[in-house]
Amino acid sequence: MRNNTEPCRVCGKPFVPCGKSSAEIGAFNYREVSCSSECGQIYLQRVIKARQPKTVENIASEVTKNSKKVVKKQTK
Amino acid sequence: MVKVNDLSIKSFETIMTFGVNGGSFRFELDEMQNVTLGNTEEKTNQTGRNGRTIGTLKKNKAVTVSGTSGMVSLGLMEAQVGSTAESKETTVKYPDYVTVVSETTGEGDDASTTVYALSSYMAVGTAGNEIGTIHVKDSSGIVTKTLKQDATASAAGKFAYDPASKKITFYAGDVNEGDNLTFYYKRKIIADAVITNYSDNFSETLEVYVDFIAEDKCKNEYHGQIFMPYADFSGNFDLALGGDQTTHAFEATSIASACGNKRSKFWDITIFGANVEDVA
Repeated sequence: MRNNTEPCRVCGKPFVPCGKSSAEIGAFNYREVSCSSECGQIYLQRVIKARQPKTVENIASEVTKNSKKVVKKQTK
Repeated sequence: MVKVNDLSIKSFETIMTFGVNGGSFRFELDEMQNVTLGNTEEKTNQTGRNGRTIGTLKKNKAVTVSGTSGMVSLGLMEAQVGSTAESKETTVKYPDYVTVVSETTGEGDDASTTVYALSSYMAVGTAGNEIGTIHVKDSSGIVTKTLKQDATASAAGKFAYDPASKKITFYAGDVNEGDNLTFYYKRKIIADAVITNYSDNFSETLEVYVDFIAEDKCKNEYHGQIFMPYADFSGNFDLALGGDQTTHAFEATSIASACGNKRSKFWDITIFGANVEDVA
């Protein structure tokens, strides 16, 4: 029989996904992407963070991180 | 006195339907290929000595109207599935075939190239799983790799999607410029009509008028109208798509009208002159 499980997007634990989208349910359907509501919350936070429009502060912090990496490489 | 005798039917015009007991207009079929009014009655012989027929017993009188429309009628479909068509916001599944493109930012030593793809429409669904899976195909159309959607394209085999920009980003090295991608997603649209065949809704009973044109032996033209007060539509119908012309067949059983203090009837057939005047 076909194994109808998917790995959880957060912890990797296999789970049986629910085919109903969030639009049909009317709320974020964690069962589509994760094994538990806790993992679902973490995943949703990651998605929201990844899709946030880049603010001046975000860009500045990215530049700082990148420049730190460059400095590390140069010192090596 | 009856003023008209034998008629030849010249053309079959339309079928109009309304809610029962003088309800509102429901639908009209004006591209009918054929219609049949089937009348049946069971007659059993009553026998006497030596099995001779001494009488008949008549029972089980029934009427059906059936026909085929040359076009698919949404109104007829509503009656057959017992549902109402709605114009509403809904989602449809869309198959998308796109090619990976590349973008170079910066100049000289600072130049960096990123590869990405754009979905044709905005995918909707559970946040972070709008597309779900992308199949990467080679030039022969063979799937070489399957990528899974994640919040970010942070590891091999993962991709990220931003519905606002429709941009799909990949982990470095997963795809190359020019790779063909196939994926399936739901897009949100305003549908012109949505009919849902609910499992617990059944076909409807409607008031039916069948109009036709007839001619007598002297070439006088008449209009004819068959009226069924209660036509119980059957929920059995096929929609054969592709190949030959898709037609829409139906069948309805006339229910004897026992409503009111009159003789019950299956139908009336009314013949009237083409240019008959109104009666004041």
